[in-house]
Amino acid sequence: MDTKFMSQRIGKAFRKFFRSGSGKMAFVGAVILVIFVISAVLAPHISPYDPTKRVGRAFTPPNSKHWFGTDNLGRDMFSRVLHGARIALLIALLAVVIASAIGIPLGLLSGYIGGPLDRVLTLVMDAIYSFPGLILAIAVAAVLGTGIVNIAISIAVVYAPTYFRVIRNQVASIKSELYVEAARALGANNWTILIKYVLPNVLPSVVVVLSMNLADAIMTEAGLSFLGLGIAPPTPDWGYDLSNGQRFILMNDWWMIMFPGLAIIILVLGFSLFSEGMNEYLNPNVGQQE
Amino acid sequence: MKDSALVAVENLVKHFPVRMNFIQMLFTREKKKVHAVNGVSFKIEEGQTLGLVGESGSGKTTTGRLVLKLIEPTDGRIKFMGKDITPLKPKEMRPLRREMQIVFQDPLASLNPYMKIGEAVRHPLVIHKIGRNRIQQREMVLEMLEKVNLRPPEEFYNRYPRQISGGQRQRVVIARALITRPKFVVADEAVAMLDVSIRSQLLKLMVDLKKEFNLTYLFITHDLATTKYICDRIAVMYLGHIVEEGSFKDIYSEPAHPYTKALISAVPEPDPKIMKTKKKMIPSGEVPNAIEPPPGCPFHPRCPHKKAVCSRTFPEVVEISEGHKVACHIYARR
Repeated sequence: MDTKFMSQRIGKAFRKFFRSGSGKMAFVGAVILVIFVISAVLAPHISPYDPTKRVGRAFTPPNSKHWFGTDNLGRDMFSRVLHGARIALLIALLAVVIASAIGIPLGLLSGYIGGPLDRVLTLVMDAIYSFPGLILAIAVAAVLGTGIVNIAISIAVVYAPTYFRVIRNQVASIKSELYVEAARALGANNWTILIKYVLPNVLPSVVVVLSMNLADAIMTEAGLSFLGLGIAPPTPDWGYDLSNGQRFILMNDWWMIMFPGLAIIILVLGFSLFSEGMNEYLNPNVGQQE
Repeated sequence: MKDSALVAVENLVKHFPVRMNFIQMLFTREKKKVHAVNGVSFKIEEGQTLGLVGESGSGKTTTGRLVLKLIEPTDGRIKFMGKDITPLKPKEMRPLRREMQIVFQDPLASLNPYMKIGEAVRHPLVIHKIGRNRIQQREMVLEMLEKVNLRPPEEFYNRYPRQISGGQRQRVVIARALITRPKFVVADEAVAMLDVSIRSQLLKLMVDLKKEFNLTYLFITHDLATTKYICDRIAVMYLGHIVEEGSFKDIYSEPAHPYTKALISAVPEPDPKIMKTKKKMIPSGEVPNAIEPPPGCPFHPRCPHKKAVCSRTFPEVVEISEGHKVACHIYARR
């Protein structure tokens, strides 16, 4: 049934490519994401050079040997951008997993139990939420130090309140639904009601928040690396390459920042298009209008 | 002394606090309350059906929820199978829920949209640990689905609530309520949202199931006509009070309370000739606000037979014939 569902959706998106906005958006987003994921997974096999070694003359503009040119140390930019996708996706995924692992259970409890616990948790989460994201991530990253897991944690701290707020508000409204009262009348305990009746009804909105947060997480990760708080230098990373390349912008070496920058923009765009399109698909009211 | 009644309710009261904003809080000393249920008493013998009739806002749905302790009563006592369940905590109520069930008005809203029908009906068995394993539970579910005329049951088992019709959904809800073989079922406007043709089918199903499982119903409705098929006794509610209670025949052919008379006169008659000659007496005005109910008899502002005493004291309940009780000053003993 699921495969039928998906194929119908994709087929529909094809047919309404120029008519239905949401179908087009989700489809284009999905294509971008698939391309990036494939290149990240296959990076060691498809990249022409080792991204951390000197493979040609420094500051070579893009040519047939080095499609994206080389940087100040003679490293192949194309290989670095390909490998950069690995780091970006890995950290973004890890950050989103950690953020949802914190935000979803707390949101469920807070919305379902309510009372003083809800007020305290909401206050704490709102306090975190009110910080500008990058500044909070910088502060946490500065404390934790560099490394993939540490960066993921510092990004997760920024995004956990988003999950918390979405889940909490949904749970608070689902709690008063008739099927929850019916479950109570059946004799179900609170835990069962929460897992079997409330959680499945909030998950669709989590999917949307999840893909939107992935986009944000990639930008935050690039921002941290740009500021030197990200991954240690020899590892290929878009944010680091950007900050490295901008030092030579006055020498007109545009390729060093253009390609990592484009990679970030396109990947973020892919996530945004996908989540926006999915949002409209998953929203039953929009679906019925078709 | 053992009480023969399966369900007995004594002087049940439920007040809901009214939400006020900050400014209102500053200027009001006492908290405002909605007087949803104001001292309701009734008994239901095992195997009987009590119809609770009243217009919207009369507190009949609140009464149904109170009897099952889905909400806590402000005052009064609820006895189930001779046991006082009023002081029980929600946790202590859980095992008892196997014996008492509820069918709500809106079948779509009372089913989890992400739960397949078979799973929804099986869930009570999981909760109360009935049946040895999944396979046996599945068998029980299929049997139950067949009993509520969802055939073939295998086909319905794997569907989602949105994929079936309203009448079928209500059958699923009934199957879910009855799978633990309860003794007592509250039907809260259970057929009100369905088409007239499906309504009679479901009423017939409920009567059949009642015989088969020896059920006791509290049948809540605003529609006097549907009580004809299913109820042994009828209690008429008005603004949180039971104003008249009696056998189906008492209420229908010899209504005593002015409000009941008005209700009966409003039931449409299939024969247009009788309908034309039938004397209608629709009470003037609207149902008073339950936040500030009128003093004395709740019906007095609209009553055609109003006396001076009506606005001062609440009438005593008088038994005018065997089992036919009325709360009205007209019948008060002098």
